[in-house]
Amino acid sequence: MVPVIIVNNLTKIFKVKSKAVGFFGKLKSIILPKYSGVIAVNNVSFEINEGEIVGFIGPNGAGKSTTLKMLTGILFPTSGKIDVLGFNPHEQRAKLAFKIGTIFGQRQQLLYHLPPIDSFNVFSKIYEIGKAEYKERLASLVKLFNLERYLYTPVRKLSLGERMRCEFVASVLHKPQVLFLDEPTIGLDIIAKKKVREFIKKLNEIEKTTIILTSHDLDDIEELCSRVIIINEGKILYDGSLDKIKKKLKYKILDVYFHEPLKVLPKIPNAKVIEQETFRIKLQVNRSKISVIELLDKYFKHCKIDDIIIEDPPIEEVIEQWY
Amino acid sequence: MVLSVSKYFTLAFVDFREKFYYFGAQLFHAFFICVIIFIFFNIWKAIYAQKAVIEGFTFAQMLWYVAVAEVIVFCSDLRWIETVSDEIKTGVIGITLLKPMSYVLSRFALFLGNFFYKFIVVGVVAFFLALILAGPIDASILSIVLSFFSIILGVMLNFVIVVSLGFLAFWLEETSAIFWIYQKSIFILGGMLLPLDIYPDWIKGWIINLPFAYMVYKPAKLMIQFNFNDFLITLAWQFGWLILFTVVLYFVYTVGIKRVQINGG
Repeated sequence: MVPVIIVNNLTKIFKVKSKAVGFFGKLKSIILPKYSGVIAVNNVSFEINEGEIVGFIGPNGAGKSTTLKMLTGILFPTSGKIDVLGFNPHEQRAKLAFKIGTIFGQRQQLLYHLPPIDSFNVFSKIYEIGKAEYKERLASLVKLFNLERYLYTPVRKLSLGERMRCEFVASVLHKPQVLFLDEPTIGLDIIAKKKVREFIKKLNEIEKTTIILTSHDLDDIEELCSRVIIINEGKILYDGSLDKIKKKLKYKILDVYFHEPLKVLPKIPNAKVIEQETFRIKLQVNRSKISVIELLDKYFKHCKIDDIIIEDPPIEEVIEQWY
Repeated sequence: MVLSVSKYFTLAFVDFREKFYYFGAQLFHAFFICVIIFIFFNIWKAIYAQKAVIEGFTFAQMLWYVAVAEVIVFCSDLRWIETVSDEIKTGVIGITLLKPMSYVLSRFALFLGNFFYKFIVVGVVAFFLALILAGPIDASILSIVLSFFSIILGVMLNFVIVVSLGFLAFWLEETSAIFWIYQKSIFILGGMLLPLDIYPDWIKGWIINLPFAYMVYKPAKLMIQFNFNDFLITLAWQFGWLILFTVVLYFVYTVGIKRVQINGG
Protein backbone atom coordinates (compact mmCIF):
# COMPACT_ATOMS: atom_id res chain seq x y z
CA MET A 1 0.00 0.00 0.00
CA VAL A 2 1.31 3.43 -0.94
CA PRO A 3 0.62 6.23 1.55
CA VAL A 4 -0.66 9.34 -0.25
CA ILE A 5 -1.09 11.35 2.93
CA ILE A 6 1.43 11.37 5.76
CA VAL A 7 0.74 13.52 8.81
CA ASN A 8 3.23 13.79 11.66
CA ASN A 9 2.62 15.57 14.96
CA LEU A 10 0.27 18.07 13.41
CA THR A 11 -0.89 20.89 15.67
CA LYS A 12 -3.00 23.95 14.98
CA ILE A 13 -3.48 26.64 17.59
CA PHE A 14 -5.81 29.51 16.75
CA LYS A 15 -4.92 32.85 18.28
CA VAL A 16 -8.05 34.40 19.73
CA LYS A 17 -8.23 37.98 20.96
CA SER A 18 -9.57 38.13 24.52
CA LYS A 19 -12.62 40.35 24.81
CA ALA A 20 -12.27 43.08 27.39
CA VAL A 21 -15.10 44.28 29.61
CA GLY A 22 -16.09 47.93 30.05
CA PHE A 23 -15.03 51.09 28.21
CA PHE A 24 -11.51 51.31 29.67
CA GLY A 25 -11.00 47.58 29.24
CA LYS A 26 -11.91 47.86 25.56
CA LEU A 27 -9.65 50.91 25.16
CA LYS A 28 -6.81 49.00 26.78
CA SER A 29 -7.43 45.97 24.55
CA ILE A 30 -6.97 48.19 21.47
CA ILE A 31 -3.59 49.44 22.68
CA LEU A 32 -2.44 46.27 24.42
CA PRO A 33 -4.45 43.39 22.98
CA LYS A 34 -4.38 40.10 24.85
CA TYR A 35 -4.52 36.84 22.99
CA SER A 36 -5.19 33.32 24.06
CA GLY A 37 -4.54 30.12 22.14
CA VAL A 38 -7.27 27.66 21.23
CA ILE A 39 -5.89 24.24 20.35
CA ALA A 40 -7.94 22.98 17.42
CA VAL A 41 -5.68 20.08 16.44
CA ASN A 42 -3.35 18.57 19.00
CA ASN A 43 -0.30 16.57 17.92
CA VAL A 44 -2.09 14.38 15.42
CA SER A 45 -0.33 11.71 13.31
CA PHE A 46 -1.73 9.33 10.70
CA GLU A 47 -1.20 7.92 7.23
CA ILE A 48 -3.75 7.35 4.49
CA ASN A 49 -3.09 4.90 1.68
CA GLU A 50 -3.97 5.17 -1.97
CA GLY A 51 -7.57 4.18 -2.72
CA GLU A 52 -8.77 4.27 0.90
CA ILE A 53 -12.02 5.91 1.97
CA VAL A 54 -11.42 7.32 5.42
CA GLY A 55 -14.09 8.89 7.58
CA PHE A 56 -13.20 11.66 9.99
CA ILE A 57 -15.78 11.76 12.71
CA GLY A 58 -16.22 13.74 15.85
CA PRO A 59 -18.51 16.31 17.47
CA ASN A 60 -18.65 19.96 16.39
CA GLY A 61 -15.38 21.74 17.05
CA ALA A 62 -13.47 18.44 17.31
CA GLY A 63 -10.86 19.53 14.75
CA LYS A 64 -12.04 17.53 11.72
CA SER A 65 -12.50 20.42 9.30
CA THR A 66 -9.37 22.17 10.56
CA THR A 67 -7.35 19.03 9.82
CA LEU A 68 -8.89 18.80 6.35
CA LYS A 69 -8.14 22.46 5.66
CA MET A 70 -4.52 21.97 6.67
CA LEU A 71 -4.30 18.91 4.40
CA THR A 72 -5.55 21.01 1.47
CA GLY A 73 -3.13 23.85 2.24
CA ILE A 74 -5.57 26.64 3.04
CA LEU A 75 -4.69 26.68 6.72
CA PHE A 76 -1.12 26.94 7.98
CA PRO A 77 -0.27 24.45 10.73
CA THR A 78 1.25 25.75 13.94
CA SER A 79 3.64 22.80 14.00
CA GLY A 80 4.08 19.34 12.54
CA LYS A 81 4.57 17.95 9.06
CA ILE A 82 2.10 17.18 6.28
CA ASP A 83 2.82 15.39 3.03
CA VAL A 84 -0.01 15.06 0.51
CA LEU A 85 0.97 13.32 -2.74
CA GLY A 86 4.56 14.42 -2.14
CA PHE A 87 3.62 18.09 -1.64
CA ASN A 88 3.79 20.28 1.41
CA PRO A 89 0.22 21.66 1.21
CA HIS A 90 0.68 25.15 2.65
CA GLU A 91 3.91 25.79 0.76
CA GLN A 92 2.85 24.21 -2.55
CA ARG A 93 -0.87 24.90 -2.40
CA ALA A 94 -1.38 25.83 -6.07
CA LYS A 95 0.59 22.81 -7.36
CA LEU A 96 -1.26 20.47 -5.01
CA ALA A 97 -4.60 21.97 -6.09
CA PHE A 98 -4.21 20.32 -9.52
CA LYS A 99 -4.08 16.90 -7.82
CA ILE A 100 -6.84 17.20 -5.25
CA GLY A 101 -10.55 17.88 -5.28
CA THR A 102 -12.62 19.39 -2.51
CA ILE A 103 -16.23 19.73 -1.56
CA PHE A 104 -17.29 21.77 1.40
CA GLY A 105 -20.97 20.96 1.79
CA GLN A 106 -21.72 24.34 3.31
CA ARG A 107 -19.93 26.38 0.67
CA GLN A 108 -20.81 26.67 -2.98
CA GLN A 109 -18.35 26.93 -5.84
CA LEU A 110 -20.75 27.00 -8.79
CA LEU A 111 -21.70 30.29 -10.48
CA TYR A 112 -25.13 30.99 -9.02
CA HIS A 113 -26.84 32.73 -11.93
CA LEU A 114 -25.37 30.71 -14.78
CA PRO A 115 -26.07 27.11 -15.81
CA PRO A 116 -23.68 24.44 -14.44
CA ILE A 117 -22.11 24.01 -17.90
CA ASP A 118 -20.61 27.51 -17.55
CA SER A 119 -19.07 26.63 -14.19
CA PHE A 120 -17.68 23.40 -15.67
CA ASN A 121 -16.16 25.37 -18.56
CA VAL A 122 -14.54 27.79 -16.10
CA PHE A 123 -13.21 24.91 -14.00
CA SER A 124 -11.75 23.24 -17.09
CA LYS A 125 -9.77 26.45 -17.71
CA ILE A 126 -8.77 26.84 -14.06
CA TYR A 127 -7.48 23.26 -13.95
CA GLU A 128 -5.92 23.65 -17.41
CA ILE A 129 -7.68 20.59 -18.86
CA GLY A 130 -7.24 20.08 -22.62
CA LYS A 131 -10.37 20.60 -24.76
CA ALA A 132 -10.71 17.01 -25.99
CA GLU A 133 -9.98 15.56 -22.55
CA TYR A 134 -12.52 17.93 -20.94
CA LYS A 135 -15.21 17.04 -23.45
CA GLU A 136 -14.75 13.33 -22.87
CA ARG A 137 -14.54 13.67 -19.09
CA LEU A 138 -17.60 15.89 -18.86
CA ALA A 139 -19.65 13.52 -21.01
CA SER A 140 -18.82 10.56 -18.76
CA LEU A 141 -19.52 12.49 -15.53
CA VAL A 142 -22.79 13.91 -16.85
CA LYS A 143 -23.87 10.36 -17.70
CA LEU A 144 -22.74 9.01 -14.35
CA PHE A 145 -24.61 11.72 -12.48
CA ASN A 146 -27.57 11.76 -14.81
CA LEU A 147 -27.20 15.51 -15.26
CA GLU A 148 -28.24 15.94 -18.91
CA ARG A 149 -31.47 17.67 -17.90
CA TYR A 150 -29.84 20.23 -15.63
CA LEU A 151 -26.76 21.16 -17.61
CA TYR A 152 -28.30 24.30 -19.08
CA THR A 153 -30.53 25.31 -16.15
CA PRO A 154 -29.27 28.22 -14.02
CA VAL A 155 -27.82 26.92 -10.75
CA ARG A 156 -30.21 29.06 -8.69
CA LYS A 157 -33.12 27.08 -10.16
CA LEU A 158 -31.70 23.67 -9.19
CA SER A 159 -32.68 21.77 -6.06
CA LEU A 160 -30.03 21.27 -3.37
CA GLY A 161 -29.54 17.65 -4.43
CA GLU A 162 -29.12 18.55 -8.10
CA ARG A 163 -26.76 21.35 -7.14
CA MET A 164 -24.67 19.02 -5.00
CA ARG A 165 -24.32 16.57 -7.87
CA CYS A 166 -23.10 19.44 -10.03
CA GLU A 167 -20.67 20.44 -7.26
CA PHE A 168 -19.27 16.91 -7.40
CA VAL A 169 -18.80 17.07 -11.14
CA ALA A 170 -17.03 20.43 -10.80
CA SER A 171 -14.75 18.99 -8.13
CA VAL A 172 -13.68 15.88 -10.00
CA LEU A 173 -13.43 17.22 -13.57
CA HIS A 174 -9.64 17.22 -13.31
CA LYS A 175 -9.49 13.61 -12.05
CA PRO A 176 -8.13 14.36 -8.57
CA GLN A 177 -6.07 11.66 -6.91
CA VAL A 178 -7.35 12.67 -3.49
CA LEU A 179 -10.83 13.98 -2.78
CA PHE A 180 -11.62 15.86 0.43
CA LEU A 181 -15.29 15.89 1.32
CA ASP A 182 -16.43 18.03 4.23
CA GLU A 183 -20.06 17.25 5.04
CA PRO A 184 -20.94 16.40 1.43
CA THR A 185 -24.49 15.28 2.20
CA ILE A 186 -25.46 18.09 4.56
CA GLY A 187 -29.04 19.22 3.98
CA LEU A 188 -29.79 16.58 1.33
CA ASP A 189 -32.86 14.36 1.33
CA ILE A 190 -32.54 10.55 1.56
CA ILE A 191 -32.62 9.98 -2.21
CA ALA A 192 -30.06 12.69 -2.95
CA LYS A 193 -27.82 11.33 -0.17
CA LYS A 194 -28.06 7.86 -1.66
CA LYS A 195 -27.05 9.14 -5.10
CA VAL A 196 -24.10 11.06 -3.68
CA ARG A 197 -22.92 8.00 -1.77
CA GLU A 198 -23.25 5.81 -4.86
CA PHE A 199 -21.13 8.28 -6.79
CA ILE A 200 -18.44 8.40 -4.11
CA LYS A 201 -18.28 4.59 -4.16
CA LYS A 202 -18.08 4.47 -7.95
CA LEU A 203 -15.38 7.11 -8.07
CA ASN A 204 -13.34 5.17 -5.55
CA GLU A 205 -13.83 1.88 -7.39
CA ILE A 206 -13.29 3.11 -10.95
CA GLU A 207 -10.62 5.76 -10.50
CA LYS A 208 -9.07 4.52 -7.25
CA THR A 209 -9.53 8.00 -5.82
CA THR A 210 -8.47 8.31 -2.21
CA ILE A 211 -11.33 9.89 -0.30
CA ILE A 212 -11.26 11.65 3.04
CA LEU A 213 -14.68 12.37 4.37
CA THR A 214 -16.10 14.21 7.34
CA SER A 215 -19.76 13.86 8.12
CA HIS A 216 -22.20 14.14 10.95
CA ASP A 217 -24.41 11.69 9.08
CA LEU A 218 -23.05 8.42 10.35
CA ASP A 219 -24.87 6.52 7.60
CA ASP A 220 -22.39 8.16 5.22
CA ILE A 221 -19.54 6.78 7.27
CA GLU A 222 -21.06 3.35 7.69
CA GLU A 223 -21.86 2.97 3.99
CA LEU A 224 -18.65 4.40 2.60
CA CYS A 225 -15.73 4.13 4.96
CA SER A 226 -13.69 1.04 5.66
CA ARG A 227 -11.61 3.05 8.10
CA VAL A 228 -12.58 5.75 10.56
CA ILE A 229 -10.59 8.27 12.53
CA ILE A 230 -12.44 9.47 15.59
CA ILE A 231 -11.27 12.88 16.68
CA ASN A 232 -12.29 14.94 19.69
CA GLU A 233 -10.79 18.07 21.23
CA GLY A 234 -8.13 17.95 18.53
CA LYS A 235 -6.88 14.48 19.44
CA ILE A 236 -7.26 11.18 17.65
CA LEU A 237 -9.19 8.80 19.88
CA TYR A 238 -9.42 5.92 17.46
CA ASP A 239 -7.96 5.05 14.07
CA GLY A 240 -9.03 1.77 12.52
CA SER A 241 -11.84 -0.18 10.94
CA LEU A 242 -15.47 0.41 11.77
CA ASP A 243 -15.96 -3.33 12.24
CA LYS A 244 -13.26 -3.40 14.89
CA ILE A 245 -15.09 -0.78 16.92
CA LYS A 246 -18.29 -2.71 16.63
CA LYS A 247 -16.61 -5.90 17.81
CA LYS A 248 -15.42 -4.13 20.92
CA LEU A 249 -18.98 -3.19 21.78
CA LYS A 250 -20.41 -4.48 25.01
CA TYR A 251 -23.99 -4.32 23.77
CA LYS A 252 -26.07 -5.95 21.05
CA ILE A 253 -29.61 -5.06 20.12
CA LEU A 254 -31.98 -8.01 20.11
CA ASP A 255 -35.32 -7.67 18.35
CA VAL A 256 -37.63 -10.62 19.05
CA TYR A 257 -40.99 -11.17 17.28
CA PHE A 258 -43.41 -13.57 18.97
CA HIS A 259 -46.13 -15.70 17.42
CA GLU A 260 -48.52 -14.96 20.29
CA PRO A 261 -48.85 -12.01 22.66
CA LEU A 262 -46.24 -11.93 25.39
CA LYS A 263 -48.33 -12.09 28.56
CA VAL A 264 -45.71 -11.65 31.24
CA LEU A 265 -42.37 -10.09 30.55
CA PRO A 266 -39.69 -11.94 32.47
CA LYS A 267 -37.22 -9.87 34.45
CA ILE A 268 -33.92 -10.33 32.66
CA PRO A 269 -30.73 -9.15 34.35
CA ASN A 270 -28.14 -7.52 32.01
CA ALA A 271 -30.78 -6.79 29.37
CA LYS A 272 -32.62 -3.49 29.07
CA VAL A 273 -36.00 -3.21 27.40
CA ILE A 274 -35.83 -0.52 24.69
CA GLU A 275 -39.22 -1.09 23.03
CA GLN A 276 -42.15 -3.31 23.83
CA GLU A 277 -45.23 -4.15 21.78
CA THR A 278 -47.83 -6.92 22.04
CA PHE A 279 -45.95 -9.29 19.70
CA ARG A 280 -42.48 -7.81 19.91
CA ILE A 281 -39.74 -6.86 22.31
CA LYS A 282 -36.49 -5.00 21.68
CA LEU A 283 -33.68 -5.47 24.18
CA GLN A 284 -30.21 -4.08 24.72
CA VAL A 285 -28.14 -7.03 25.83
CA ASN A 286 -24.89 -6.79 27.77
CA ARG A 287 -22.87 -9.44 25.99
CA SER A 288 -20.12 -9.54 28.55
CA LYS A 289 -22.63 -10.79 31.14
CA ILE A 290 -25.00 -12.88 29.09
CA SER A 291 -24.88 -14.32 25.57
CA VAL A 292 -27.86 -13.94 23.23
CA ILE A 293 -28.31 -17.73 23.00
CA GLU A 294 -28.25 -18.04 26.76
CA LEU A 295 -30.80 -15.25 27.12
CA LEU A 296 -33.21 -16.80 24.61
CA ASP A 297 -32.83 -20.22 26.12
CA LYS A 298 -33.28 -19.01 29.68
CA TYR A 299 -36.12 -16.51 29.37
CA PHE A 300 -38.03 -17.19 26.16
CA LYS A 301 -37.80 -20.98 26.02
CA HIS A 302 -41.56 -21.45 26.34
CA CYS A 303 -42.52 -18.67 23.92
CA LYS A 304 -43.23 -19.35 20.27
CA ILE A 305 -40.87 -17.07 18.39
CA ASP A 306 -41.47 -15.96 14.79
CA ASP A 307 -38.28 -14.04 14.13
CA ILE A 308 -35.13 -12.77 15.81
CA ILE A 309 -32.99 -9.88 14.60
CA ILE A 310 -29.60 -9.26 16.19
CA GLU A 311 -28.17 -5.82 15.46
CA ASP A 312 -25.26 -3.66 16.46
CA PRO A 313 -26.30 -0.53 18.32
CA PRO A 314 -26.69 2.61 16.15
CA ILE A 315 -23.33 4.00 15.14
CA GLU A 316 -24.08 7.24 17.03
CA GLU A 317 -23.98 5.22 20.24
CA VAL A 318 -20.87 3.41 19.10
CA ILE A 319 -19.09 6.69 18.53
CA GLU A 320 -20.45 8.19 21.72
CA GLN A 321 -18.58 5.54 23.68
CA TRP A 322 -15.31 6.98 22.36
CA TYR A 323 -15.98 10.64 23.19
CA MET B 1 1.35 32.33 -8.13
CA VAL B 2 -0.06 30.46 -11.08
CA LEU B 3 0.28 32.56 -14.21
CA SER B 4 -1.74 30.76 -16.84
CA VAL B 5 -3.48 33.85 -18.18
CA SER B 6 -6.41 32.28 -20.04
CA LYS B 7 -8.12 31.13 -16.82
CA TYR B 8 -8.27 34.73 -15.60
CA PHE B 9 -9.71 35.95 -18.91
CA THR B 10 -12.33 33.22 -18.68
CA LEU B 11 -13.18 34.28 -15.12
CA ALA B 12 -13.50 37.94 -16.17
CA PHE B 13 -15.67 37.06 -19.14
CA VAL B 14 -17.96 34.73 -17.17
CA ASP B 15 -18.36 37.31 -14.42
CA PHE B 16 -19.19 39.89 -17.09
CA ARG B 17 -21.92 37.54 -18.36
CA GLU B 18 -23.23 36.70 -14.90
CA LYS B 19 -23.60 40.39 -14.10
CA PHE B 20 -26.26 40.72 -16.79
CA TYR B 21 -28.63 38.96 -14.41
CA TYR B 22 -28.57 42.23 -12.46
CA PHE B 23 -29.28 44.32 -15.54
CA GLY B 24 -32.38 45.92 -13.98
CA ALA B 25 -30.40 46.98 -10.89
CA GLN B 26 -27.73 48.54 -13.10
CA LEU B 27 -30.34 50.55 -14.94
CA PHE B 28 -31.33 52.03 -11.57
CA HIS B 29 -27.68 52.96 -11.02
CA ALA B 30 -27.58 54.51 -14.48
CA PHE B 31 -30.68 56.50 -13.64
CA PHE B 32 -29.09 57.69 -10.37
CA ILE B 33 -25.94 58.83 -12.19
CA CYS B 34 -28.14 60.68 -14.67
CA VAL B 35 -29.78 62.48 -11.74
CA ILE B 36 -26.34 63.47 -10.39
CA ILE B 37 -25.21 64.68 -13.81
CA PHE B 38 -28.43 66.65 -14.17
CA ILE B 39 -27.92 68.30 -10.75
CA PHE B 40 -24.33 69.23 -11.66
CA PHE B 41 -25.59 70.48 -15.01
CA ASN B 42 -27.83 72.98 -13.24
CA ILE B 43 -25.21 74.00 -10.66
CA TRP B 44 -22.50 74.60 -13.28
CA LYS B 45 -24.97 76.31 -15.60
CA ALA B 46 -25.63 78.87 -12.86
CA ILE B 47 -21.90 79.30 -12.17
CA TYR B 48 -20.98 79.58 -15.86
CA ALA B 49 -23.65 82.28 -16.36
CA GLN B 50 -20.99 84.76 -15.19
CA LYS B 51 -17.95 83.27 -16.95
CA ALA B 52 -17.22 81.37 -20.16
CA VAL B 53 -14.17 79.56 -18.80
CA ILE B 54 -13.36 78.52 -15.23
CA GLU B 55 -9.85 77.27 -14.43
CA GLY B 56 -9.39 76.26 -18.06
CA PHE B 57 -12.72 74.36 -18.35
CA THR B 58 -15.59 75.47 -20.57
CA PHE B 59 -19.12 74.61 -19.44
CA ALA B 60 -19.30 71.61 -21.81
CA GLN B 61 -15.88 70.36 -20.67
CA MET B 62 -16.90 70.70 -17.02
CA LEU B 63 -20.05 68.67 -17.50
CA TRP B 64 -18.18 66.00 -19.45
CA TYR B 65 -15.53 65.94 -16.71
CA VAL B 66 -18.23 65.31 -14.10
CA ALA B 67 -19.77 62.53 -16.24
CA VAL B 68 -16.42 60.77 -16.86
CA ALA B 69 -15.30 61.11 -13.21
CA GLU B 70 -18.64 59.79 -11.89
CA VAL B 71 -18.54 56.82 -14.26
CA ILE B 72 -14.90 55.98 -13.35
CA VAL B 73 -15.67 55.96 -9.62
CA PHE B 74 -18.93 54.08 -9.98
CA CYS B 75 -17.42 51.40 -12.23
CA SER B 76 -14.31 51.02 -10.04
CA ASP B 77 -16.58 49.70 -7.29
CA LEU B 78 -14.84 50.85 -4.10
CA ARG B 79 -16.97 48.33 -2.18
CA TRP B 80 -14.37 45.73 -3.10
CA ILE B 81 -12.69 46.65 0.20
CA GLU B 82 -15.70 45.10 1.90
CA THR B 83 -16.02 42.28 -0.64
CA VAL B 84 -12.47 41.12 0.10
CA SER B 85 -12.77 41.59 3.84
CA ASP B 86 -16.10 39.67 3.85
CA GLU B 87 -14.44 36.81 1.96
CA ILE B 88 -11.80 36.71 4.68
CA LYS B 89 -14.30 36.93 7.53
CA THR B 90 -16.70 34.31 6.14
CA GLY B 91 -14.01 31.94 4.90
CA VAL B 92 -15.07 32.19 1.23
CA ILE B 93 -11.41 32.97 0.53
CA GLY B 94 -10.75 29.28 1.27
CA ILE B 95 -12.79 28.15 -1.76
CA THR B 96 -10.60 30.27 -4.05
CA LEU B 97 -7.40 29.18 -2.32
CA LEU B 98 -8.32 25.55 -3.06
CA LYS B 99 -8.09 26.22 -6.78
CA PRO B 100 -4.85 26.28 -8.76
CA MET B 101 -4.88 30.01 -9.30
CA SER B 102 -3.79 33.20 -7.62
CA TYR B 103 -6.37 34.69 -5.26
CA VAL B 104 -5.37 38.26 -6.14
CA LEU B 105 -5.42 37.69 -9.91
CA SER B 106 -8.74 35.88 -9.73
CA ARG B 107 -10.23 38.84 -7.84
CA PHE B 108 -8.65 41.17 -10.40
CA ALA B 109 -10.34 39.21 -13.20
CA LEU B 110 -13.71 39.53 -11.44
CA PHE B 111 -13.05 43.22 -10.74
CA LEU B 112 -12.32 43.87 -14.43
CA GLY B 113 -15.38 41.88 -15.55
CA ASN B 114 -17.45 44.00 -13.18
CA PHE B 115 -15.80 47.24 -14.40
CA PHE B 116 -16.44 46.61 -18.09
CA TYR B 117 -20.00 45.49 -17.48
CA LYS B 118 -20.80 48.65 -15.50
CA PHE B 119 -18.90 50.82 -17.94
CA ILE B 120 -21.01 49.53 -20.81
CA VAL B 121 -24.36 49.80 -19.03
CA VAL B 122 -23.90 52.95 -16.92
CA GLY B 123 -21.21 54.64 -19.00
CA VAL B 124 -23.24 54.60 -22.19
CA VAL B 125 -26.28 56.14 -20.48
CA ALA B 126 -24.22 58.78 -18.62
CA PHE B 127 -22.22 59.84 -21.70
CA PHE B 128 -25.37 60.00 -23.81
CA LEU B 129 -26.92 62.36 -21.27
CA ALA B 130 -23.75 64.49 -21.18
CA LEU B 131 -23.90 64.68 -24.97
CA ILE B 132 -27.52 65.84 -24.89
CA LEU B 133 -26.99 68.39 -22.12
CA ALA B 134 -23.58 69.80 -23.05
CA GLY B 135 -23.04 68.79 -26.64
CA PRO B 136 -19.90 67.16 -28.03
CA ILE B 137 -16.38 68.10 -26.93
CA ASP B 138 -13.23 68.29 -28.98
CA ALA B 139 -11.63 64.83 -28.82
CA SER B 140 -10.04 62.55 -31.40
CA ILE B 141 -10.39 58.76 -31.46
CA LEU B 142 -6.68 58.45 -30.59
CA SER B 143 -7.03 60.78 -27.58
CA ILE B 144 -10.08 58.80 -26.38
CA VAL B 145 -8.23 55.47 -26.73
CA LEU B 146 -5.11 56.77 -24.93
CA SER B 147 -7.20 58.40 -22.19
CA PHE B 148 -9.12 55.16 -21.77
CA PHE B 149 -5.79 53.37 -21.30
CA SER B 150 -5.01 55.84 -18.52
CA ILE B 151 -8.47 55.19 -17.02
CA ILE B 152 -7.71 51.45 -16.98
CA LEU B 153 -4.37 52.08 -15.23
CA GLY B 154 -6.21 54.21 -12.67
CA VAL B 155 -8.75 51.42 -12.18
CA MET B 156 -5.88 48.94 -11.67
CA LEU B 157 -4.29 51.27 -9.13
CA ASN B 158 -7.61 51.52 -7.33
CA PHE B 159 -7.93 47.70 -7.34
CA VAL B 160 -4.48 47.18 -5.84
CA ILE B 161 -5.17 49.69 -3.04
CA VAL B 162 -8.71 48.46 -2.41
CA VAL B 163 -7.61 44.80 -2.12
CA SER B 164 -4.71 45.76 0.16
CA LEU B 165 -7.16 47.62 2.39
CA GLY B 166 -9.57 44.65 2.26
CA PHE B 167 -6.74 42.39 3.44
CA LEU B 168 -6.49 44.46 6.59
CA ALA B 169 -9.44 42.32 7.70
CA PHE B 170 -6.80 39.69 8.56
CA TRP B 171 -5.87 41.97 11.47
CA LEU B 172 -8.82 44.30 12.02
CA GLU B 173 -11.75 41.99 11.13
CA GLU B 174 -13.92 45.05 10.42
CA THR B 175 -13.07 47.35 7.51
CA SER B 176 -16.22 49.43 7.06
CA ALA B 177 -14.52 52.51 8.58
CA ILE B 178 -11.61 52.12 6.15
CA PHE B 179 -14.05 51.85 3.26
CA TRP B 180 -15.79 55.05 4.40
CA ILE B 181 -12.54 57.02 4.65
CA TYR B 182 -11.23 55.68 1.32
CA GLN B 183 -14.49 56.43 -0.47
CA LYS B 184 -14.56 60.03 0.80
CA SER B 185 -10.89 60.46 -0.12
CA ILE B 186 -11.66 59.42 -3.70
CA PHE B 187 -14.63 61.82 -3.81
CA ILE B 188 -12.67 64.80 -2.51
CA LEU B 189 -8.96 64.19 -3.12
CA GLY B 190 -9.53 62.17 -6.28
CA GLY B 191 -11.52 64.91 -7.94
CA MET B 192 -14.80 63.12 -8.41
CA LEU B 193 -16.95 66.01 -7.28
CA LEU B 194 -14.78 68.82 -8.67
CA PRO B 195 -11.71 68.94 -10.89
CA LEU B 196 -8.71 69.57 -8.64
CA ASP B 197 -8.01 72.79 -10.64
CA ILE B 198 -10.90 74.42 -8.76
CA TYR B 199 -9.16 73.95 -5.36
CA PRO B 200 -6.91 76.69 -3.98
CA ASP B 201 -3.34 76.34 -5.27
CA TRP B 202 -1.85 75.33 -1.91
CA ILE B 203 -4.33 72.45 -1.52
CA LYS B 204 -3.96 71.42 -5.16
CA GLY B 205 -0.18 71.39 -4.68
CA TRP B 206 -0.60 68.90 -1.85
CA ILE B 207 -3.08 66.54 -3.43
CA ILE B 208 -2.25 66.66 -7.14
CA ASN B 209 0.30 63.84 -6.99
CA LEU B 210 -1.46 61.59 -4.49
CA PRO B 211 -2.64 58.24 -5.91
CA PHE B 212 -6.30 59.35 -5.69
CA ALA B 213 -5.72 62.01 -8.38
CA TYR B 214 -4.29 59.37 -10.74
CA MET B 215 -7.39 57.23 -10.40
CA VAL B 216 -9.98 59.88 -11.28
CA TYR B 217 -8.85 63.46 -11.90
CA LYS B 218 -5.92 62.91 -14.26
CA PRO B 219 -7.52 60.24 -16.53
CA ALA B 220 -10.84 62.17 -16.63
CA LYS B 221 -9.06 65.41 -17.49
CA LEU B 222 -7.09 63.66 -20.23
CA MET B 223 -10.38 62.51 -21.73
CA ILE B 224 -11.65 66.13 -21.80
CA GLN B 225 -8.46 68.07 -22.57
CA PHE B 226 -6.01 65.61 -24.06
CA ASN B 227 -2.37 66.61 -24.18
CA PHE B 228 0.31 64.09 -25.13
CA ASN B 229 2.82 65.50 -22.68
CA ASP B 230 0.30 65.29 -19.82
CA PHE B 231 -0.56 61.78 -20.95
CA LEU B 232 3.06 60.60 -20.64
CA ILE B 233 3.53 62.26 -17.23
CA THR B 234 0.24 60.78 -15.99
CA LEU B 235 1.27 57.33 -17.21
CA ALA B 236 4.66 57.58 -15.46
CA TRP B 237 2.99 58.52 -12.16
CA GLN B 238 0.36 55.84 -12.56
CA PHE B 239 2.99 53.16 -13.16
CA GLY B 240 5.02 54.46 -10.21
CA TRP B 241 2.06 54.30 -7.81
CA LEU B 242 0.99 50.96 -9.26
CA ILE B 243 4.42 49.39 -8.63
CA LEU B 244 4.58 50.81 -5.10
CA PHE B 245 1.11 49.58 -4.12
CA THR B 246 1.65 46.21 -5.80
CA VAL B 247 4.64 45.72 -3.48
CA VAL B 248 2.43 46.74 -0.53
CA LEU B 249 -0.28 44.33 -1.69
CA TYR B 250 2.23 41.50 -2.04
CA PHE B 251 3.53 42.15 1.46
CA VAL B 252 0.06 42.41 3.06
CA TYR B 253 -1.13 39.26 1.23
CA THR B 254 1.94 37.17 2.05
CA VAL B 255 1.80 38.02 5.74
CA GLY B 256 -2.00 38.00 5.99
CA ILE B 257 -2.67 34.69 4.27
CA LYS B 258 -0.95 32.86 7.11
CA ARG B 259 -3.62 34.25 9.39
CA VAL B 260 -6.56 32.72 7.50
CA GLN B 261 -9.06 31.27 9.91
CA ILE B 262 -11.94 29.44 8.32
CA ASN B 263 -14.39 28.49 10.98
CA GLY B 264 -16.94 25.76 10.56
CA GLY B 265 -17.38 23.40 7.64
